[in-house]
Amino acid sequence: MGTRAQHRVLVLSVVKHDYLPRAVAAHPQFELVGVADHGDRPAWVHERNQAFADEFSIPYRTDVEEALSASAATVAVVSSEAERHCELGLRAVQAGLHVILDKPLALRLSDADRLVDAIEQRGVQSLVWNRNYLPSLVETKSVLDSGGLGCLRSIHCDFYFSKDAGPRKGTRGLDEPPINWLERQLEAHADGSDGGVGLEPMGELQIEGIYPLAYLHLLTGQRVARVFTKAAAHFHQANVDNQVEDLATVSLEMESGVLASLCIGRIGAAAHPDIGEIKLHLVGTEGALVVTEARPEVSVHYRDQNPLEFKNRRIADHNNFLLMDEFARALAGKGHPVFTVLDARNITATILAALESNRTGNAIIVENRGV
Amino acid sequence: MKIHLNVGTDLGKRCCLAGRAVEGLEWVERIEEADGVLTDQVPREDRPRPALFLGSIPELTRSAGSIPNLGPWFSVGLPRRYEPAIQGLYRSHRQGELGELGLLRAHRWLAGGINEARRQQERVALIDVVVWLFGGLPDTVYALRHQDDNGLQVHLSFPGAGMAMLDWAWSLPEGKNYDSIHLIGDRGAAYADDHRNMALLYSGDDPRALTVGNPTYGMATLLQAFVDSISAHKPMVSLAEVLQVQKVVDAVQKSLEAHEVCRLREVGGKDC
Repeated sequence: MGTRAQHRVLVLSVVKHDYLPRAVAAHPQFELVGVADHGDRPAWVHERNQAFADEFSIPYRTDVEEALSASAATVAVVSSEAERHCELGLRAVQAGLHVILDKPLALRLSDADRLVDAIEQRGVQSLVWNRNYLPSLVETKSVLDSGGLGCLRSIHCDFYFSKDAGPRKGTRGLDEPPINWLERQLEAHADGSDGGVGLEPMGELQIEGIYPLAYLHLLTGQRVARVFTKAAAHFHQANVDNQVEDLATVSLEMESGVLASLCIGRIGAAAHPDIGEIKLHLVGTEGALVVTEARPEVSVHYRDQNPLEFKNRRIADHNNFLLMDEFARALAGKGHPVFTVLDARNITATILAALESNRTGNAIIVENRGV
Repeated sequence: MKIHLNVGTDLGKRCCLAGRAVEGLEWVERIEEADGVLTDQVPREDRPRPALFLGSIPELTRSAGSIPNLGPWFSVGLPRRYEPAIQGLYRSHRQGELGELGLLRAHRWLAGGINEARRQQERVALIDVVVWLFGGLPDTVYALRHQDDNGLQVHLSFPGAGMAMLDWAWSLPEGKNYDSIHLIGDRGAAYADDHRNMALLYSGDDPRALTVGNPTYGMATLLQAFVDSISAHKPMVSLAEVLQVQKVVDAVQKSLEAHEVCRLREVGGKDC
């Protein structure tokens, strides 16, 4: 027997990861009541929004302001192109809605700051999508909280996605034009590797960096103070043509003095049997811990298996449910989400500092913002 | 091949144990009868026959200025290159399976209580592996140390796209070490990780992880390489090559002291 949803949710654009509004819809306390986007968006945006609305039998409106007032929604979920996350989130917050946003939060710190300002002024709750409730992260946090490692001294994250991103580097002919970023992302929608969808090209740090940096945030409880980065377009022609990295290494100093490092890359489908090697290494004064983020998993192999199919499949994953469950509790006045817009804003600052470090070759201080 | 052993007791035992798996190796008591020598002593004079140095590399490089011209037959033994996992990575890389290297990521954790000399040896050994696999020196070094000085993080940038991120900790509780090295190239990746090579022992409460490996394999492979090098009249790693690696190790120290990026002059950057 189901219980009646307590929160009406308006989807503001669903052109990228539809797993986000699906996760919202799957929680019993939330109900999708509509999809909305600006009428002047290109046709492919409307097609994706309409398809999602049709599947859920909810209306699609092409006037965001009208939808915000007519839907009687109390929560908005934003999964647009990255450069529009903050603009759509800001409209929802200004209308008094709580917001859930897809990653990355923003490409510019000023956009993120405007959204943080509005959230603080309106006193609404916010959640930026993350993976902090994966079983391996929950276990790691538990080990740290119980003192199993003593005082944490360093934490290291490998975050390699083995999805391809179009033609390999060096495969474009001299007479061929550079790869258009948006066109490449639209092509990639079918296999889900379109995390960088939008007009503005983004490297792997901006597309995926928020996940591992959110792990560091969760596990240390600290913000990043200083970074040094080396990055390169090493694998994919689209990254070379658009001058954005697909491989990066970042040295990080947390505010508490804990050291951290991040190795991140879109290393290509040939480089790993699954979605990629994603690991955490933690060193404390009393011990150390090595964790594979994808576990627990089961291995599945069978005749005529698609070579691109992951051979190891995650199990026992309630990340999406737990994020929404926590968000529901926050809406009921009990605590805060594990990863808010303010947290994501500071990670945006970390990523922008990392990119500046790569450009200048120097270590860079991160422009953090307090509560 | 007749080899004379001129090393300390513990190292000598390890050599003898590993030597049983080395094809064509015969130990001889008298140096005059030997085709080659294994030594852990920093040489004071030129040697008339091939020698493989297995002693302290920091001590060797510090003494380099006062060592006479050793000739082509003095080689430096770099045992980490011959560890099974690193040999596996090297073979894959050498065969072109990985394409152009983009990233080397390594963790090396050891039990606490090791002295500064051993820490320096560890730095040289791993940085040598990195330089060996990339085939050249980095142009930029950035290093950070743990608050309690029981760990080190070194970030290397190579000309072009290459990069390496190295993590040492000397604070594990007494017991086994942990090693992990990933190589990421533009055609593929290779992962060597102790995490993958564990057996589980169930004896109550949570299971205990047991390392599965062959502790003599690395030394045997190094000794085989020495024997083969004598047979082929082709020396192994020269002191000059190790001194190049030492420049990177020195840059690590400079970066730590300055808390800044250190650029190596020899490969195009300004000195730090």
